[in-house]
Amino acid sequence: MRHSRFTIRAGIIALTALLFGPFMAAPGSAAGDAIKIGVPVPLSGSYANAGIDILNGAKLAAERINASGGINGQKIEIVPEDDACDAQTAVQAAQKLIDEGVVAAAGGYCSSASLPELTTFHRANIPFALDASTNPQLTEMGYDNVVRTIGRDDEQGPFAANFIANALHAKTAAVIHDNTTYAKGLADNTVSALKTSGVRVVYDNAVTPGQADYTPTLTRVAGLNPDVIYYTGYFSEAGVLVKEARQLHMKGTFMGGDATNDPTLIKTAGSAANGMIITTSPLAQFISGAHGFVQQYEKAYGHAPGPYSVYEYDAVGVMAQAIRNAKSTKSDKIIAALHQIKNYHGLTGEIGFNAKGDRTKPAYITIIVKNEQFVPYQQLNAAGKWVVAK
Amino acid sequence: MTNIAATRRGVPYAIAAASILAVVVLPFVSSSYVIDVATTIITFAVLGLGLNIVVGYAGLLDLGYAAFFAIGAYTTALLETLGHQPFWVTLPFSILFAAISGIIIGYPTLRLRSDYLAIVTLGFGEITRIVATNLGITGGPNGIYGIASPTFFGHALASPRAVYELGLGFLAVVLVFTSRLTRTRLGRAWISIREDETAAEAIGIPTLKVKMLAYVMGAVVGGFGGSFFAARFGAIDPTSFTYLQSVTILIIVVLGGMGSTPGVMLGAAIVAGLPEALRFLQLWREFVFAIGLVVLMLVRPQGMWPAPLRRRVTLPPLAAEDESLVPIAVEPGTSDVLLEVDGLSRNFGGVRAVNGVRFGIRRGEILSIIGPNGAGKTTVFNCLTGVIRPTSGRISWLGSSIVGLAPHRVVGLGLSRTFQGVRLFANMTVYENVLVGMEPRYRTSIPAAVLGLHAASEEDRRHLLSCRRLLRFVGLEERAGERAGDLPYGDQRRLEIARALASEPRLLLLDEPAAGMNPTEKRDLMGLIRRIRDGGITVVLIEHDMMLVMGVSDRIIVMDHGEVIAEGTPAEVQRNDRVIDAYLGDDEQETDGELRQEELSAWDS
Repeated sequence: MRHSRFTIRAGIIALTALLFGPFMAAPGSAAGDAIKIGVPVPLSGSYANAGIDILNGAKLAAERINASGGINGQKIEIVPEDDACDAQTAVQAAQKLIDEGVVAAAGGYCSSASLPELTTFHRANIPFALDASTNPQLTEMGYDNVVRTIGRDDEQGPFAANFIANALHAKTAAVIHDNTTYAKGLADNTVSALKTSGVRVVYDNAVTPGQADYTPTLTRVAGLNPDVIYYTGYFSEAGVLVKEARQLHMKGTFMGGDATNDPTLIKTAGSAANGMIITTSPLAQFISGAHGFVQQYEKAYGHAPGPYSVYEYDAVGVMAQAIRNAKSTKSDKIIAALHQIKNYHGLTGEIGFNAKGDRTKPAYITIIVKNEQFVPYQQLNAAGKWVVAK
Repeated sequence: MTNIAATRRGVPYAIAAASILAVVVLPFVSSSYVIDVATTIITFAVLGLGLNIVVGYAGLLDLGYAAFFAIGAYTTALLETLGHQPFWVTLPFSILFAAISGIIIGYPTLRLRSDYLAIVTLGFGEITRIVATNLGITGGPNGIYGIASPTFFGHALASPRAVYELGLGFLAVVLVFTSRLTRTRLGRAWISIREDETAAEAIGIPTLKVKMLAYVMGAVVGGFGGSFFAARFGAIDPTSFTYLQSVTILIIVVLGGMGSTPGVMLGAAIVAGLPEALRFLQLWREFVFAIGLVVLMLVRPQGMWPAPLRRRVTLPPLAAEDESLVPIAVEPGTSDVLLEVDGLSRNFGGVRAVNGVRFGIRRGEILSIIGPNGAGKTTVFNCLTGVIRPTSGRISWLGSSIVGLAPHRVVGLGLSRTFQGVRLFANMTVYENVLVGMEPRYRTSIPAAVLGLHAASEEDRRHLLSCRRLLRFVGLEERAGERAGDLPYGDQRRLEIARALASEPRLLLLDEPAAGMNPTEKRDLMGLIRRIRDGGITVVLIEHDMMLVMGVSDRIIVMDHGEVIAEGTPAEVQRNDRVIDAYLGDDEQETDGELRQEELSAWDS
């Protein structure tokens, strides 16, 4: 009995040693011909779907690049690692990519995982292109190795204000939020940008999310008669609000932030949603240049692309362009080349980066509900003018 | 046989030496990735060791442990980014704030049953995370960024290796702290509460304070680990401190082995390391990991490395002829009456279990309280020892009232008891059971014990000596190292008496000590009771066994229906008409009583 217990214990120790055996392997690996680009994304846990979508985008980008001869004669290889949207796992994923010899990284989903990844890549001086992490902080750390192909949370407000002032030519606006951090932040950014654009903000207050009736708030707003009502919260309340606004015969244009961009909104509001305008990062389906991508994606994976794969496609593409321009896989040169990029033709539009690494022209568009369907409405062109989005 | 035992004893040391070597050499032979994984394992080991105090030792289910982790992390983050304090300065504050929040949460909830604690801690964990998500100062959901790396004599600890080594330092501190702490009397008190909280309180453990200490010590370690976490990542946000994190830490403790230090570290290595080792499985990783955990728990339900039950101890030598208790010195001038009960009543709903009972206990006597089942004898005991509060009446001990005192305070005054059914700490050794009973006698502080100060170790030695004396006194000296739950029934009874004597009481209350004993054991018990009295301790016993009662008592109180119906010497009581009517009334009982009398006279001769 004693001996068998001891044997079991010894067995457990041996098993543990065995499990850690693979870790003890020498760092790095045999340098193949391919240029390795790391993709740290959640491949397990509740955000695995988003991670797989992003990874699919990266694979399509790599296929296209390799089909057209690779980078300076070398093929690229996508190396995925699971970050589980968890800070500690993220550091390990990034470190594993570094040990596997990636020269650059493109990916990330949860900001809470992207940030430790970014810090780890920064320490190893490896460039990192973010495709989905919108937290402003990521590019405020003073790191030179980071760029992103998606807008930041605090850019949507000015974009919305620009649209309200210069496309809708509104004089007065009401801004409603729901007191969640994200919605309050967007409301604050929008209000300050509206003020500098000369639009008078007649109402700036919150509703309590989860209620079935917002008539008291809307009656008050209706009395102020604003040209535009901009709701920055989520789709479920937005559906009720737009429905009740129509019942009160409010005249102003009803608008929503990107958290209202969900088919549920139309289900809730029905035909009342028609005419509602939403500011959002464009889905691949709404980007004129991305039709080929959507077809390719559907062919390869059997379903429509998710929201971020097209941004990952561009993140891998812009990184490949930087390596091509640098004519080197040395990280210093890639990072320098990355910041030189001013007008890369991405699927999501012209891509260039400011000193922080944010896109100089944030990729936002407006969409409108027509016949109870989301369709593209207007977007900013290269010259900063509002044009019809196709 | 001895050789095998010696080899087996050497195994843990060999494993420890090999692990230390591996841990020290690791950063020099492996990649940054492996070092990072090891750092995560260290973080979880620190947290696991902290929670192990709460769950593994004191047996309190804490489902919100990540809250203390968060408090430590946010304290360091805020003090560094807003207060511009260096990392090392923030550490004591992390510990302090974690301890304070431990007190705030623990104080109101620890007096409730432990399942309430689980729910309250669950809520506390979530509240902490939600507050961090909503406060402006904590950066809301974005968290806090730009926490500088700690420096050590001018070197920034930022590289994976430096952070790993810093983590090792943290782990070493926590290991020393927790292992010192759990080896003191506090560690024993925690285990006794886990084993049987009521019994622990009744033999003199201030259970509320001791549980509080477990909770706060766990909080302190959690806060300490949180500071390391903040320093390691330079950025924190609320998603790192979810309910899932609390559960993960709990899994580490349960998987490793509750109360086992090497077990918890092994648990951390498995929980943090196994998913990494399974990376090659890609999407199947979490699934296989979960299956792995289930299989491990099925194979090792007590944990991978359960805490050893039998702790070896060398009791200090005791002269062969020394068999007595140290006689209790009688302070001159104190009254002859130890305890006086007057008008004692206790109602349970509409039932008057005890009704206006009045009696006194004289120094140096053996007093028996007898009466049919339901007469209220045990209720009287419970009132005397503070387990229940009397509805009305006076209980005075050496002239001052003890009504309303907590049981452990009553023990501290010199009133000790045993229980009707055996309530030993089954998973502790025989000598540990006795040592727990000595808690009211300790004079040195717990910090002194943790630091191993001379006074504390001297006191420990003295108590071990008196523990040996007590065990010899009840005849259990040879079984000192055995698990209490493994003793035969009679020995368990005697151990319970030794444990009650450990507080050096002046009055010992025995509740049906002879129940379930065979005639030989009963005879031994009579001898033991007499020897206890000869040691200067007054004995009161509740007993149904007339042979024992009549043979050993100086005086007998007879109770029926909650009232005292007779009082006197054994001979007087046996002649009392009311007793014969109420208690020995029916023929069968009377015959029984006569029979026993015959037996008795045979022994007396």
